[in-house]
Amino acid sequence: MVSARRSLTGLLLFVGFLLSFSNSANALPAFARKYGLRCSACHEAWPMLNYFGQKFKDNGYQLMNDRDSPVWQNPSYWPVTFRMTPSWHRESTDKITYDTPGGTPGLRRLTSSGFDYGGLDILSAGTLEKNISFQIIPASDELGAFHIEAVNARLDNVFNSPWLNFKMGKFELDNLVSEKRGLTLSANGGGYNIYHFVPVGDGNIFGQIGDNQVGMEWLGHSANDRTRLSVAILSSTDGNPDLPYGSNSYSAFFTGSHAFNVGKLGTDRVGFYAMVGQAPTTYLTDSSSGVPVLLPSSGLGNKGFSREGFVGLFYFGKLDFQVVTQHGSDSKWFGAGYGDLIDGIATGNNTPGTVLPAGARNPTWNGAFVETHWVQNPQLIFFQRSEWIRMSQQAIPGTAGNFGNIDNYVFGYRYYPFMNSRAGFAWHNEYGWLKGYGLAPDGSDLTSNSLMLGFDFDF
Amino acid sequence: MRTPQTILIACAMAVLALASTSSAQITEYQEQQNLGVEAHVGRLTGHAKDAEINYRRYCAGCHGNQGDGEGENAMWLDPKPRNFTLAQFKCRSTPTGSLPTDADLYDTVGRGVQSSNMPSWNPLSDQQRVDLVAYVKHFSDRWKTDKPGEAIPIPPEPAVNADKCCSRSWNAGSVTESKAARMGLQRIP
Repeated sequence: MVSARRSLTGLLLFVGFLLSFSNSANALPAFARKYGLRCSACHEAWPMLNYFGQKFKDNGYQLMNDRDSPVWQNPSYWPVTFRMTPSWHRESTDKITYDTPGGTPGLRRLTSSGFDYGGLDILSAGTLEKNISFQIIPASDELGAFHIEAVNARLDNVFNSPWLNFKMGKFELDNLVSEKRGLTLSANGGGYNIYHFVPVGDGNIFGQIGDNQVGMEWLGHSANDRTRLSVAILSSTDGNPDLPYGSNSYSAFFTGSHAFNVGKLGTDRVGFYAMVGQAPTTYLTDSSSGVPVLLPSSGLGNKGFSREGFVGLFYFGKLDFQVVTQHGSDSKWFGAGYGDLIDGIATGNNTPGTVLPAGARNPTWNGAFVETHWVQNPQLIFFQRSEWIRMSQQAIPGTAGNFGNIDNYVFGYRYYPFMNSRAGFAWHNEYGWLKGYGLAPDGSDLTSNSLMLGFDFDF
Repeated sequence: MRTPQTILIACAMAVLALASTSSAQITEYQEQQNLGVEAHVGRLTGHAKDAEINYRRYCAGCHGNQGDGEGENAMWLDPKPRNFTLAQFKCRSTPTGSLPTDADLYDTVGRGVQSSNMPSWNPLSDQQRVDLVAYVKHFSDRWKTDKPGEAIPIPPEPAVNADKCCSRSWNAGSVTESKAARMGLQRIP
């Protein structure tokens, strides 16, 4: 007993000794290492950018001082960051179809939980020379299958004008509220639905503003980044390489925004975006083998689509709101199931003589989300997002007006135990809930939810 | 025998508690003393207490939590970050040895410092910047006892003619060889 007490006493004294000398841990990912800035300088809460970070990005990953060129760096500097998220998560979906002992299908809730890990992102970006920047992101799924998430090079400040910046390659569209830098990670709350929405049965995968796209972008901004405009010309391939769809189809993405000071509250920004484009609905087939085979790159019969909306970033001290709205419209051909047949998304091939169902119309919808952040301090952020999508016109007459509507709510927090310029680390806890109207096998509403606790880190 | 052991455990607990709060007590004391500092630039009034979070977010990595220029990046930087506790600044409009004006510090925050790791923080709002100036001032008691020097008036730029231009000289390092040659300057040995 006496020995145990002495051990306890010794342990307490030792811990006290260690604590008396303790200091916050030190650590920097690629940009932070290059410039010697903490993650929090560019990120409201990593990975979400703040105004300073947005300006840094708009300047081509440059602070616009005399140390932007890589020749200023130690030769051993390597602009690479790894990001991964091991976690425990619980997924639950109601009304899953399953076989019953009697042989008739039944519906029941399916819930599973366990430890897991997400894919790996390898992010490399920076400057090749002053005013010439690049970005390469090889990313893998959980099984290690890699794809190129982004690869592009950019000419910055051409003729010394911040209004002339040109980028070519595969890149994230200039969304003011970036899904790639979003704070939410769970299966039912991680993505922004309106960035990927297509009506149920719609064959158009080409208008997804959340997916990285292949093309060329012009970005212009005022010297202080208060006003910014961009136009991107994109191949209608949804970011896939080798032009699998053909048909010389293109899309365009436009953004514009302006920021203004609101005194002590911060700097607010309002803007708009629009994506308009065309994509094929007809593919040639070859039946010489006896079975009709689709010919890649043979897409024809371009049909149109559009997504447009307003964006607002509003700050009230520690509280801020990000608001994105969307009105979307697809050609009735997409709405009737024609479109991406190469990947098997579409259900029909718009060959000559094809007739649309009687009364088919362009499907249209409206959506919005409001994401709120409470930044207690640079190391602790609480967040929530509420998102709604409502069909305003179904492609096929007779379809229930609310079929395919979506409600999505997510909330959580991220805690960053340390803050330095070497690495990022967050304890992430999130709950997401999703409801799809009429999407259950029996035609009723389908709900699912996710609970996630994990370590999100990069270095 | 139980009493000495109990006292020993109590002492260990006390050491633990003191160790975990000692640094916070010092910081809290200093902040109570100095966080009322203000800065004035034009019509803006900055308050040090309003800049605590932004200082941690943007500045502390280099200038240190205590403003002593010993942030975690300091050892890798050249030139070294400014030590705010000394209240000595190079970029100012006032005579040598005197404190800079609030506007001097405000301009430095917004403009950055060329050939250093100090970037331009002009994306921050005017109010955020003047708050940070107040926070920078709160690190030194010198701001309580001294007044900023009078700004040195800058005379109008003299007219340049060929004679004056050619009679001027230059120091190595102040301009490049090629630029000196274009300007017709003579090098000081």
